[in-house]
Amino acid sequence: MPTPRIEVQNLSIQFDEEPLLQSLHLSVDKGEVFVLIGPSGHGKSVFLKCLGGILPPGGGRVMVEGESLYDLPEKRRAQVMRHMGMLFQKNALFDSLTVAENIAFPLREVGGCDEVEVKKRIDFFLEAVAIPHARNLYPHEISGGMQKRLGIARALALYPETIFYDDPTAGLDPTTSRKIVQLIMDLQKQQGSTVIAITNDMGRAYQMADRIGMIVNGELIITGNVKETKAHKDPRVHQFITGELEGPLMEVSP
Amino acid sequence: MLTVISHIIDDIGGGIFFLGDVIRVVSRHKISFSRVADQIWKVTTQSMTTTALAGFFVGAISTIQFTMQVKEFGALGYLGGLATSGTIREVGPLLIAFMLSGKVGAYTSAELGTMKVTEQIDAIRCLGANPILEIILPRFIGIIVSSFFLLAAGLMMSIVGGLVMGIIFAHINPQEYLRHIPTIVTWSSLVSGLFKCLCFALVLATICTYKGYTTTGGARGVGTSVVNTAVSTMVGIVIMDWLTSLVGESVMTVVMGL
Repeated sequence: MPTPRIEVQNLSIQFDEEPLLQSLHLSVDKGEVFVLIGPSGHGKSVFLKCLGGILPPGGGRVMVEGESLYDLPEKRRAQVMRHMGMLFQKNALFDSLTVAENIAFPLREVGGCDEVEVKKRIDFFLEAVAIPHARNLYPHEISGGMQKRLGIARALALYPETIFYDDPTAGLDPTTSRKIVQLIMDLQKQQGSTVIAITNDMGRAYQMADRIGMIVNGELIITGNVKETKAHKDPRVHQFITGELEGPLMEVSP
Repeated sequence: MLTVISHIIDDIGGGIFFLGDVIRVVSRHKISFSRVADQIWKVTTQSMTTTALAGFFVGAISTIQFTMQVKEFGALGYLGGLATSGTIREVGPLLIAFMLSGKVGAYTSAELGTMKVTEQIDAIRCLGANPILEIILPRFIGIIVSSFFLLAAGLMMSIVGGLVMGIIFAHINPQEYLRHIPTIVTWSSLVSGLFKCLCFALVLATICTYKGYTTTGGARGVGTSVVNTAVSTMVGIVIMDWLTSLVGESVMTVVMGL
């Protein structure tokens, strides 16, 4: 049996002694697209940051290709993280750098690419995310959709094996959302990467996912493919995907 | 009260550990010279005018104060030497540190704080890079190195300010004013001034980068960090001044005693 790309073992996180994530188990295979859904404030973004290596868990382990990410020496962990990319919910673009420099940052500082390669990849990714005209603009000078595209380009610049997307369609109109998700899927197919994404837009979740997981109150209550998710009997899952106002999710406090 | 004290101790401890992290990164990684040079240039050019202006007036004020004292003893010839010595040993480094804390300290803290709350620092970490190496160190070294350039500029302007005031206020000629500067301003005065400048810059660089780097809580958090930086650096610099004076004088007493 091949080693999963990402494996989460009994993971838990506390904030101010309040448990936020409790005893999570998850296994994501290479090349798989796993989508996380769930009500806002229930720990999805925290979970993603923990998988991405920037938020140590209170308990349990995050295994990347069989290596426990947070138990690795600093140097090795940095090497492992170079094979991961993340799109943040609010993009987290470097606002003092231009669009092209944002893409160049990981290439120069982490990838050790020479200037010829840096230029080649900037051109390639600006074309891939369809913002070549914005090359010399600063992040605050471009639209929200373009910022999202730039965030994706920066996350993919080093051709990572695993990519985390934190709500890639948040705040975008339906057409742009669909285009962004199509872009994510095209790039995933080209590179065969593993994708773990958060979204609350069920249409986009169904468009992307090989499997869907739902986090409610810090617990991963289901994992399954699109068909299984749609047919799931848990009333919380049903309420979330149908968007009904009344139901058990009303009673859950974040 | 206990909470406030424990918070202050917590903050000092956090700052010391942060400085330890910075020193560890310096010793283990290759630092980008161009990025450090950029920061040195930025800090120096941003603060040069205000520092030079302040230096000019500090020199002028020292001269006025010393004029009144030395006139009584008929020792106007020593005016330039005394005013310059006081500026180099004490007022100059302190003035530069206060200038930098108000301008560069607040700016650096706000810039890093904004990067922290907008997750830019997390983004750097997520790429497998070290945020201390990438964004803290260039600013840290930039502040320390440029404080020496600013000190030099401030001191030169203080001599000019003192000279102008010596001519206008004390009615002595320029040669007379400058004559005793080399005899009163000794190497120990210069070393003392440079050492203080280094210590103050170290305090400032540590506090403003630490406060910025540990900012939490959006725009309000950034505001709090900037205010805390301003207050902490002022207090830290004054305490460091007392400490360096005490240690410096003790060392000098031992050396002179020998």
